[in-house]
Amino acid sequence: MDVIAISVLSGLSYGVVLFLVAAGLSFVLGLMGIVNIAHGALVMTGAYVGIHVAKASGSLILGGLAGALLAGLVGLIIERGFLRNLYKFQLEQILVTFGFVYILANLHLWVYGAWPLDAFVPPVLSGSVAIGRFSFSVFRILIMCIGAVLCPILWWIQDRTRIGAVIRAGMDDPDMLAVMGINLRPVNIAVFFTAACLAGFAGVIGAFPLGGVTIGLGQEMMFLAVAVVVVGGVGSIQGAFAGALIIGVFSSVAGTYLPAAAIFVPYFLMVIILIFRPQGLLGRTEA
Amino acid sequence: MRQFVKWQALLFVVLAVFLPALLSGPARGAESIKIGGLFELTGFLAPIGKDAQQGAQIAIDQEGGKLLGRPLEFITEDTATDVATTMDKARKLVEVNKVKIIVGPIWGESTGALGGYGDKVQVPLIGVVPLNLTTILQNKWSFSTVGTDESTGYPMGVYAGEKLGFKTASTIGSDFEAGHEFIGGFVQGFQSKGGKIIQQQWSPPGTNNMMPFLIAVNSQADCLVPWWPGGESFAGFKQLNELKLKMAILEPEDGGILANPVANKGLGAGAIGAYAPVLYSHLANTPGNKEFVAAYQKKYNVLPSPLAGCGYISAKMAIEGLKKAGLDASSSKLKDVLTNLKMETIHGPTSFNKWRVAIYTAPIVKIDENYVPQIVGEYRTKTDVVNGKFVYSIEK
Repeated sequence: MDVIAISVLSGLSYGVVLFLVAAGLSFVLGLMGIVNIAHGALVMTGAYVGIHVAKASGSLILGGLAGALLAGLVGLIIERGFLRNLYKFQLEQILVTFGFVYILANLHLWVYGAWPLDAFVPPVLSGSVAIGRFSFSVFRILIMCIGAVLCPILWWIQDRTRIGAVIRAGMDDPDMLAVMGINLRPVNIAVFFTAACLAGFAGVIGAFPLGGVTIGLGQEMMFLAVAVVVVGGVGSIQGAFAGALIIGVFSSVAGTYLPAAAIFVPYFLMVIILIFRPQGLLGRTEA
Repeated sequence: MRQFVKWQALLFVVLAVFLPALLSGPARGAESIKIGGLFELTGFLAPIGKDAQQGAQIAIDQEGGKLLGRPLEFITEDTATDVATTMDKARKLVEVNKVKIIVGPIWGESTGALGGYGDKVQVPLIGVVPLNLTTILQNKWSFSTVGTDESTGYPMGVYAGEKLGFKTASTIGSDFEAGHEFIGGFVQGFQSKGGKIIQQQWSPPGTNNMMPFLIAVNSQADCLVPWWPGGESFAGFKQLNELKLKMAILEPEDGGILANPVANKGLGAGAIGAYAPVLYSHLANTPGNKEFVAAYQKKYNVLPSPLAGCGYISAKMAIEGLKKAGLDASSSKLKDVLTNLKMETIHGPTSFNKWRVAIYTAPIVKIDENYVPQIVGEYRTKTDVVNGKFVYSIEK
C-alpha cells in the first residue's frame, strides 16, 4: 500500500511541475499559433537564476519571483525581437526557437559551468512525512499545494475575466476581434510573457523533484510538456492540468510496476489521445 | 615589356617550386610530434570531459614541451558530446593536423563511431574511459587504458560477495549499452562469489525522476546496485536520500560523480557510505601519483577526479608508446609497441592484453561522511574473450 501511495504522490508533485511548464506552452500555441521549442530552455533559465537568487537571499519566494521574471524577460526578447514577424511562418518559428535552445544552454554553461545545480529547499520545508517504509518530502507537498492554488486562479482568469475572454476569442477568431477593434498584439505579448514566467517558476520549484538543474533540463521538459499539451488539449488550463497529472501519475506508477514501459507511457498516452480524441481531453474545439 | 613578363613568370615558377622547400628546410629538423585530444568540453558530459583534458595536459606538460628531441604538440578539440562533431574533429586532427595518436573521447557512442575511423586511417585511439565490448571486438586500433565497462563493474561484485558478505542484490541501470555492461560486470563478479540477483530494473537514459524505480526496489535485497551516469547520479542519490531508503549502495562504476572530489558533495547525504570501483583515485599509493596530484592541484587548484586521472594515464601511455616506437615508426609499429607496452603508471603496473584492454589496479572506494572516497580494496581484473564472450577474473 505504501508503494502505490508514494508512487501516486510523487507522480502528482511531478505532474504539477509539468502543468506549470505545459500551461504556458499550450496558450502560446493556442492563441498565437507559435511553436516555441525554446519553452523548455526558459524553464532552465528560470531555474538557474531563481535558485541562485534563492540561495543568496535565503528566500524561496524571492528566488521564484526572480526566476519567473528573468524567464519572462528572455521570453519577451524572443517574442519581440524575433517571433513577432514570424506569426504565420511555423517552420521559421521552429528554427528560430530551436536556435535559442542552444544559445541559452551554452550561455548557462558559460556562466554557471556544467555541474548540475542543486535545488533550494528552505530549512522549514526540508522535513518529510513517513508513509510506510518510505518518506515523502514536505517540499513535494508544497509543490502540490502550489498546483492546487495556481490552477484555479489561472482557470478563473481564463474563463471569468475580460482578458480571458479576449484570449479565448483570439484563439477562435482573431479576425473577428480585429473587426471589433480589439488589438490582439498586447494580449499576445502578455500571454507570451506569462507563459515564460510560469516556465521559469516551474524551473525553480521543479528542481527539487527533478534532482537538480542541468543544462539538458529544458529539452527533457519540452518533450514531456508537448505530450501534456496533446493529452490535455491546446489552449485550456484545465486541459493542461489534467494532462500533466495524468502523465505524471501514469509515468510514476508505470515506472514502479512496469519499469520497462516507463519511457513510453507519456508518448503512448499521447498517441492514444491523437487517435481517439485529437483535440485532447479538455481541449478547445472549433467555435 | 614582354621580356619583363617572361622574367617575372620564370621567377614565379622558381619561387613556387623552391620556396616551400627552402622554408620547410630549417623547420624539418624541428618538425613537431603531434598528439590529438578529443574531449567533451561542451554538452552534457562537459564536466568530466574537461577533467580528462586537464589530466592529459599534465602528462604533456611533464614532458617539458619535447619528445624525442622534437617539439611536442597536444592539439585538443571539443566533441560537444556529439557523435557527428567527434567524427569531424577526428578527421581534422588526422587529415589536417597529422596527429600520430588520439587520446579520448568519453561518450560511448562517439568512441564506438570513432573506432571504425581509427581502423580505416590506422591511427591508434587511446580511450580515457572503459570501452564497450563491441568496440573492443570490432576495432583493432582502439585501446582501453581502463578496461571494459564490464571489467570495471566486476570487482565490485566480487567485493560485495567476498568482503561485505552480501548474498542478494537489486540493480537499477540506465537503459543503454554502458548501463547494461557495468551492471553486467557486477552481476558476473557477484555470482562468481555465490551472490544472487533478485531484481533488475532499467531506467530511461537521461531521466531525472528516479522515484518510481527506487520505490519499487525489493527491500529483501542485501544491497542496491544502481548505475547512474553524470546528471542521473544527482537525481538518483538525491531521491534515494529523500525516500530515506536504508540499504547498502554499491555502484558498479562511479558514474563520473560519486568518487569525484569536486562534485560528489552535490549528491547529498544519500552518497555517504556508498561504494564504487573507481577508474582512478587521488589517494592511491602508486608510483607518480603524488607528483600528478601536486601538479594537477597547482595548475587547476582542485583535486584530480577519476576522469582527470584517466586522461593523465592515457596521455602517459600514448607518450610512452611514441617514445618506444621511435621517430620514424610506421603507425603499425606504433600499434604493436602500444599493444606490448608495460609500464608503471598511477594505476600501478599497467599493460595491455591482446585485446588492447589494460590490466591495472582499480581501487574500490567508500564515501566517508566528509565525502572523501576512501580506498577500501584494490583489484586487478583480467579480461579475456572465450568463444566470443568476455570472461573476467581477478589477478592474484
